[in-house]
Amino acid sequence: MAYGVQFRGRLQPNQTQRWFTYNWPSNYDVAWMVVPTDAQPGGAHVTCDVALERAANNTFTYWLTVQNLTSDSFDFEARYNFLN
Amino acid sequence: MRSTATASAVPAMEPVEAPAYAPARKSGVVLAKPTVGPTLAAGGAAKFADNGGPVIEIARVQLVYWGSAWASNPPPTPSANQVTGAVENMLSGSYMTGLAQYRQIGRGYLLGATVYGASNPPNNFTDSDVSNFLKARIADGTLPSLDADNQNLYLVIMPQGVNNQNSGFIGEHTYYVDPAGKHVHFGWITNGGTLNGVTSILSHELVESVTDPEGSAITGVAGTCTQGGWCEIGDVCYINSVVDGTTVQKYYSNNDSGCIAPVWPALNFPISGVQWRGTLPPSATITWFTYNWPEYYFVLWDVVPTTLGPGGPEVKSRVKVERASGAYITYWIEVTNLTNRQVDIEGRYVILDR
Repeated sequence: MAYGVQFRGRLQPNQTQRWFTYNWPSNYDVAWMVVPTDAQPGGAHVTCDVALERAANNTFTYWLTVQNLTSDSFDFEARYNFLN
Repeated sequence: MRSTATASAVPAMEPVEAPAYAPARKSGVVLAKPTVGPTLAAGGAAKFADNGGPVIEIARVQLVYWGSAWASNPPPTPSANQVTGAVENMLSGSYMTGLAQYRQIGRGYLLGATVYGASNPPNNFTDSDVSNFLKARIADGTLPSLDADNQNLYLVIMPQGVNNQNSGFIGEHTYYVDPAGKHVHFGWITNGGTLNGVTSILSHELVESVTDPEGSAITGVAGTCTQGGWCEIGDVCYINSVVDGTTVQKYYSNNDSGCIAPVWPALNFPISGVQWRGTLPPSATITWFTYNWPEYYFVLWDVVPTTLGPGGPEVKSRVKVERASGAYITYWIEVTNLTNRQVDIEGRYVILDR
């Protein structure tokens, strides 16, 4: 398995934002995880939904909808991991 | 293959879902932590104490290569790209994981790397030369300005042959106060012409900067250091080690009573298990949380019913993430019972990697 950070972003208070990342080989199974890079103890910060687009015969585009659950802005990073 | 993928932002197109207000229940886990290198004498009293001053919990490291030599063709040895690559290894690898013992400081990440060749640092430069340079470059937009949480760390790397006015110093970190009253944390690193030499000095300044950016946080108790100035965790450990392919200096660990350069533990991933079990009343939604998960683990969650219920879906779950500190994550797992009867569940985790 390989693990890396695909992108970093910032969310304003209570903001929901969607990112996409493309040209991922369709024969790879990819897991995603969104982690804040600002520490703010006290409750859940972020959640993420992943949607998938078959952009071409051999590539996927991943659409990540990232939601800030707090009333503070924060930075985050989107990590990926190949499952196969 | 993965390098072909890039990210772009587009406007949100889906409705915002409301956060859960269901009561949270608690379960804790502390998984294996990285092993550490050889230690000095064990069982001694802590050499370093927390004096309560600011730390940099998740450093946003901005590298600055100052001087026209960095932009020369052919590039110098080491090149800016070589140093940047090594620092990325240092930040993303295991090296900083031992700092969790100091106010739960976590790994940093590379904010950017900038070559600035329009001026040259003077030989026998001073701290003021460096801080004035940074002030000007932040003001003219060459370098990013401070973040809201003041987690930026500017590390200025000198060309070979340019030295500090104090001949005994090859690297240093300190801070200046900007016009808004914010403390700007920075360090400088001299260059002896080898990659290993630069990364060794830089690693020393990195771990000291995050644990003690202003001389008021993690410092040695009386008698720990022999030299003057701030007594910090790198100052009693001038020992090199290679971690994730990069030469670094060890730093002092109170937990290990010695100098460490943590390496990843030999674990066979994936690692899976059941984190908790629970019961959901009919149509109920309950959120559980589980804490102290090292931030460097890539964890997936799955909630499965253990009550038989053929004929339709029984539960669904949603994972929310809290960065509780630099070093640790708390997972909040919202589970909804989709039936009109009580359902028992178990929450399963898989650690894919680190």
